[in-house]
Amino acid sequence: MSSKSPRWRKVLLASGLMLVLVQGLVRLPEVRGRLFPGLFWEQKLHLAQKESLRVERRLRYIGAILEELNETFDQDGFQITPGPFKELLVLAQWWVNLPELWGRLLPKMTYETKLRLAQKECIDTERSLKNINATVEALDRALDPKVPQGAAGSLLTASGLSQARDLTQDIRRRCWEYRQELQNLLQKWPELKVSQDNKAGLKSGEIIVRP
Amino acid sequence: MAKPLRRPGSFKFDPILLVLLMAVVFLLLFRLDHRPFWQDEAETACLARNVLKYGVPQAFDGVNLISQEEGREFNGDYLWRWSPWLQVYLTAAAFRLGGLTTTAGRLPFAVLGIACVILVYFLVKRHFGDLVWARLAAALLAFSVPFLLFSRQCRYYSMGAFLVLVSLYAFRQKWQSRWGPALLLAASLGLLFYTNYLIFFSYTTAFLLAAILFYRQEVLVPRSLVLLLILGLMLVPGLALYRIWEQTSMVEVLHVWISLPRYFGDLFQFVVPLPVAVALIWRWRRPGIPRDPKEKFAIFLTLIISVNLCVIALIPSCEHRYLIHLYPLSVILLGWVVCQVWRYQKFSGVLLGVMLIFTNWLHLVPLDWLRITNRPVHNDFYMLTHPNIPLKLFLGELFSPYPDVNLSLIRFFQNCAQPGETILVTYGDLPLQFYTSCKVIGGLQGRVLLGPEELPDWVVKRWYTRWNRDLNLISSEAFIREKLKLEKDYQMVVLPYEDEIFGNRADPYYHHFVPPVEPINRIIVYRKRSKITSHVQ
Repeated sequence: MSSKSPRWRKVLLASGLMLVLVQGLVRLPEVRGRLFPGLFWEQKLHLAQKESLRVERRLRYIGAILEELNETFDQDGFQITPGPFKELLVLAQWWVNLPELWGRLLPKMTYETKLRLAQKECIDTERSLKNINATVEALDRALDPKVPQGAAGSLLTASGLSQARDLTQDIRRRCWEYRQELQNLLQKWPELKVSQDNKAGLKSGEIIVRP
Repeated sequence: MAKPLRRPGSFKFDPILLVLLMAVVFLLLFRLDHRPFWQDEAETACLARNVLKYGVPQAFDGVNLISQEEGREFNGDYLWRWSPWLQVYLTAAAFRLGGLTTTAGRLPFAVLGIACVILVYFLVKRHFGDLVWARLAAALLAFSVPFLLFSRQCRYYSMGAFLVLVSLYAFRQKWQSRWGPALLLAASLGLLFYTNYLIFFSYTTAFLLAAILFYRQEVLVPRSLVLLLILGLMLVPGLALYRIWEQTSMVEVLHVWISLPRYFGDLFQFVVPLPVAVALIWRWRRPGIPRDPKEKFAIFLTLIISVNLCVIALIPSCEHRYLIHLYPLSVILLGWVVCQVWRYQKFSGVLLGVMLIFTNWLHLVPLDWLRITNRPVHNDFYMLTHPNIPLKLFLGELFSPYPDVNLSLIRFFQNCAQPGETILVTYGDLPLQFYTSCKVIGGLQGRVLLGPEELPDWVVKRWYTRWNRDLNLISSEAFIREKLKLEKDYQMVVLPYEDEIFGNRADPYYHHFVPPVEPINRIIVYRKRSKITSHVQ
């Protein structure tokens, strides 16, 4: 980094840093709290909304994994359509798509890993939905004018309040749809049902699963 | 700015170092017990307590079982074989000297955190003679809130960072001709294995590769082979004792493609800001080794960090704690960057330095612009995942601590439960084992016996549901759902505090500096009804 660089570069560097500084200052919770009262609830609402979008992405991802497994592998996890020419092509392009190469070389392992990935995503989706539900319930309580500790109601403007109510309704509706979608996926793919598998370990009155 | 001293290695009293030291001593030692151990810390503490009793880390003391992996950590003899023992013995020594207290348990690790700041300073000053770079790097580490949080834990994190720094320090000495630095290098790496072998494998691979690439002339083959032999001999007992081979079965190669972006995301979000990383890639876009020794060292560290992340991504659980030993390396790199920017344009240098030391804005704001910030739903504005002044949050927590989920439960059971009573809890069993005289079952233990008709005296069903490594619902949670009739046999007690996921976990995604404005999920404890009746009678 020579100090004899063109002046515009130095200006660009300084202005970029200044921009970050100003943005950082404005986003400080203390500053935002003064600028926007009711910040806590707005933020909770925003996070719940964002998380619901994340759930949507997760469900799409799970669907894509399962579709891929359905099309590419048989029930024992072996690849349906192998072929030497295809292998060579994949080998030639290994740097472009290394996971695909693994998939072709080790189909059984890939099948299991992808299924496990889908299971993990299902767990995360369940967790997210539980989290969103709790947040929306808390928001409902806070927005209820009849409840004395309805903190958000007193801090938000009338339009802000109605907007917040609309949003919570929207999030609630979407979460209901997502839950249905998740249930459908779990029904189609019994291998994904991970939450109630260890009942057998409870028969003797012990909390014991593993020998 | 970067004025060289008279000669590298010469010692001269530096008042700035003294000020930095006073600051970091305060930040790391003040109110070490402001919050109780959380689950992982309590694991170390409970094992250390058993070391004082049995001489070795036993997972079972006749009443309580220490396990977070459903009993995978030991055989029938209950000898701990899951993770290395060094941190446990260090904690046991601290307990022997200071009693079974939170402060005593955390003290040695906090002291190692302080030593890291000193080592960063002397590593730069001694080898490059650049006082400003040394001060900047030390300041960046001393005020790095994630590093401070992790160093204040009764866990191996600061020990790993310290040993990594010692290895670098020894490597920059004349280890080729002198046995002192050579043995120090081998010993630091060997001890790193006994601190945490995941860190050892990831760091050592990266370190060896970077050393061969950038300091090829200095790596003498005969001496290197002798050192590798010594290191290998040091590792033999550990390889035999710990269940490393069994744990390698958990490695899932395809998960690298998920973990790798997450680790790099963590690096950019909390350690080396993305704009700085991009600038460095641009600067080093042409292959070749820089002639300037300082720049050569900077690129050497960058390679260590990058390769380390690639290797650690093989491990199935992607956790920020596996990056803590890279914080000292990153601050040395960032210190060098600030010096370069200062030389280029003073105003920008100052701005960059101030933002890196006192804020997390350069880490987060550009990521927000690109919409790639990782901000889980349970996060709030007063966390390190939002633009903040981290030191203010950190000091705020130290001066006005709040009862977190573990403290609330510990206080409740210390007041309400009788010694020897049984508590079944779905998570947080180990802090209760350490701080109460009850029999605590459940958690992630998987294997705790109850008589056929026996009901636990207390039940804590934590709000956050947990699954085990096989992706099954954890046994304690399943037991409560399937076997217990909470409405019939138990009385519900709602505590006025948030049922956080972990408590005093240092991870930036989970560490709450302030309690939530309004608890969303309160802690619920169930008390056995027959117990209430007998108390009344």
